[in-house]
Amino acid sequence: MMDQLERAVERMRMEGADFCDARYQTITTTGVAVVDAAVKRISEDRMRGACLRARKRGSWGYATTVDVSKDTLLEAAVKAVRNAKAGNSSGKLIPDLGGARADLKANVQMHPSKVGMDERVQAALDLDRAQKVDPRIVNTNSMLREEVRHNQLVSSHDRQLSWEEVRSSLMVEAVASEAGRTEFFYDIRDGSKGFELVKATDLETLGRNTGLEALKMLTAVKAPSGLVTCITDPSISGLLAHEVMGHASEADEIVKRRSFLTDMVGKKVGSPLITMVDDGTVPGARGTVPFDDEGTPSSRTTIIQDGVYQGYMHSLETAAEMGTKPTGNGRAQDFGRRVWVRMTNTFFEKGDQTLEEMIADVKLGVLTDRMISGMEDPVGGGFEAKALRGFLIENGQVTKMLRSFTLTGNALDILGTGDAVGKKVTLDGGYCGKGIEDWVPVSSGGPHCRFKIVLGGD
Amino acid sequence: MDLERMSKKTVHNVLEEGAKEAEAYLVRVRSLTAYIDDDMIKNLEVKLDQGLSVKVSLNGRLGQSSSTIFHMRDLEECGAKAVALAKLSRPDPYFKRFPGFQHPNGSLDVCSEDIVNATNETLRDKVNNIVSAVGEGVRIPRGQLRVAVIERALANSNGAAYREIGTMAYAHFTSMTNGVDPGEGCECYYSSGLSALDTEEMGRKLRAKALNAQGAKHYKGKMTVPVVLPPEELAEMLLASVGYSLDGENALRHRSPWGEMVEKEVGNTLVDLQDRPWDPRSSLSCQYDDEGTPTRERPLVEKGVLRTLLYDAYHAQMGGVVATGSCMRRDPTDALNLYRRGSATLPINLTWRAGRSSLEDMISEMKEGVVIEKLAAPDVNSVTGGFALEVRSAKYVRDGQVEGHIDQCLLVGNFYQALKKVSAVGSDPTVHGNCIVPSVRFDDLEIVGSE
Repeated sequence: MMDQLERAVERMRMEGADFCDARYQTITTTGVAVVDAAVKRISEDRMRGACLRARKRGSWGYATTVDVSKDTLLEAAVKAVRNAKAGNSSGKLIPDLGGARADLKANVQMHPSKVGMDERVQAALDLDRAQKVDPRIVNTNSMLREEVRHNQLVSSHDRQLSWEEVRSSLMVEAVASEAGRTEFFYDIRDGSKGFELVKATDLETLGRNTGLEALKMLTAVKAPSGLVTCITDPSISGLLAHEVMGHASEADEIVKRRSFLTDMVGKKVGSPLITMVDDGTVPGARGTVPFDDEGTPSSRTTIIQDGVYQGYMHSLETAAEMGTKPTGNGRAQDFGRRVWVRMTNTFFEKGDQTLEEMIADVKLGVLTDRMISGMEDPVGGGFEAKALRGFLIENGQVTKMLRSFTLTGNALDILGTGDAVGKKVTLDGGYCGKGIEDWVPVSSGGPHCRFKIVLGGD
Repeated sequence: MDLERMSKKTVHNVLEEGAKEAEAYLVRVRSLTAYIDDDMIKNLEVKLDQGLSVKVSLNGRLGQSSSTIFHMRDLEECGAKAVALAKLSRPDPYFKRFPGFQHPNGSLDVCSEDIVNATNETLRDKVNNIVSAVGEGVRIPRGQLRVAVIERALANSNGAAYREIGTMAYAHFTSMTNGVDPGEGCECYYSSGLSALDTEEMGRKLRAKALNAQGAKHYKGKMTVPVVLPPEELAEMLLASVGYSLDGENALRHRSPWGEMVEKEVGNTLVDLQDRPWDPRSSLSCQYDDEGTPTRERPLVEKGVLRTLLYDAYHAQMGGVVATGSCMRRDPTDALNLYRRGSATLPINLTWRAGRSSLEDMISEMKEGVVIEKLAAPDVNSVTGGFALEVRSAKYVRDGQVEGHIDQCLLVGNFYQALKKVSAVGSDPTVHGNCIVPSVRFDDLEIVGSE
């Protein structure tokens, strides 16, 4: 395939591309879903195809196809250049950073290809069965998913790279119901890991705790509304890092001057306790990649250091536009989607307090517990996150469980109120969309952090 | 080989492999997209995609596999993999058989010639028109226009077979003012064709929304008032709540608030919802759902009373009811990789019967109220109905007049309870994703500011 990709790149150069690359990718996803103790789905999904990408001035032309025969690839190469020429964006030439060769296997202990399906099915069944701790648990759900990606990339800058990515996840969700009230609780384990992720998990305990926590939520009360002292758990800390500060630090938003963080390098954006990074090299984390989808090695980018804004994440294009080095953040969902600036593993760095110390100082406040969703706002810097639940803190003690609520406010205002940061960083994996589509695997997180945030109980 | 023959050949192959029941679903797509970046055309894309999904039953054990199709041997390998997986599964307690052949309930054509004949030049001209119509002082930082021709075919061992060709058009544009604390706007277009895309009108709306948002005041305080939700925000909230509650699986698994509510009141008399799977405006309209059950128009909520839940074939067997033609694998925004998507039970086109009120009527009737223009993320807790949503831009109404615009506040309420407090239904039905809905006014929702 590398030979065919090389020929396609050569054709795009001959057709007049200023820069071009060709990617071939296979993605195999294996899944087992168990619902109410019965196997609902056992599946394997395979997709493969090629993406030809050409740049002319500042416009890109893409042609993607699942037919990877020699002639079709060459036709696609011509289409990609024609599409690039039809655009009208201006832009700087992408500098040649030198050639590279690599052929990397994923660094996992138990590769999915070596694990029997029966073992996966049994794990999902065990996890599901353990949730049924009480008759009030009316519905149990367990899912195991593994994905193996093989990537091959050839670029007009003499890059010939081949690498593998492996990711696994384990999801559990229990629904509890009593007297007309229904609540749910979930837990997830994930990472750039093989089946060792499942082996390292006590399935009985994970399932049982999920069921027990769902039951507890039947007694949760409405959260207070208004500006309150809020200790964000790692998942909500991660949403603040990822959705607001992260998306607004993607350099394509800066080039367009669309981000509220444009021209903010060197300025104070938070309390001195706040340091934030995007790091595509964290071992085992879900967003970790050896190379981005343009063939740039992944790296660690400091975005905030001690409350002062440091800089942006880059693709080849934005690095060229801003006269700096790419950071390995040019990513695509798959061969059928465009490459643009995306995060990898985005998180706040650890501080020096225990959670108990952070709670003890709070007269009246809220401790969040798990996210449901969050929304980006690179223009306005607004933060919106939905927490699955939380706990009321009164006079330094956790008192009541709170049902789902929303956190909102201006991100810089929130970061400026940070007065305590926990000792332990945890990352949660998931998929990140940009705008309305283009989902890439990432993680986000941080330690517990204490801020002032506006809450709205629903 | 054409898709219909490939689907039948795959089913034949899989039965030869030892499966007792089999279903093959194949999709072929040609998709074009133009992306705008800062008023300029940044990317033009052409994508060709085809693939299949195979489901099999082997003595009650189910297996499923999907694959892109390059060689004919991909059909065989995908089928063999599904059989191999079924052998490793456990007997399914509910599955009996795939749907048998049924005649469609009429003929339907949702294949628009303007999309079949579209080129990247067609898209380029339309997006340039939108940018021009936005005018000075407001720009389009990001936008996209996508069209696709989608051919899908299904065959199963129980005789069901169909082939349909449809077209989709989807546009999503954001607008933004210049300077400090800019305002943002957003407009979408969902359709089976391009003819209804009024580029001038979209440009004007994008401009107005960005300027409105720029002038918005940060709301402080708290009020309980009537709130008008526009079609695009209402559609998302409706799907998250009502879409979830209508799913028969959720009822059977005791997690739907409407599980025991059929023939009972779930809203007031202004709540009138139907599934209209033959509406020519929607790219999702179809004669058959995505597992071969014929679709038909169906009342869901009539004058506030829930008439039925929706079931795909599997969950119809689980519940001992008839499948409603509601199995959906497609997406109104994207045509790639449809063969590998899991199926969901959804209305094909969830339609709220339009009322007689114009937006101006609804505003003039309000002593004090809010008309939402943009929410950060119009999501609802499906199980409880609760929501607390960040308002990015809204009109503030006093004494029947728009007094200004507000932002930085939360819209708080419970959607299932709000359905009992609908006070006006608009005359502006709009296709948005799986929904065709008008603006709707709900009484007694909370707006909570930051102080």
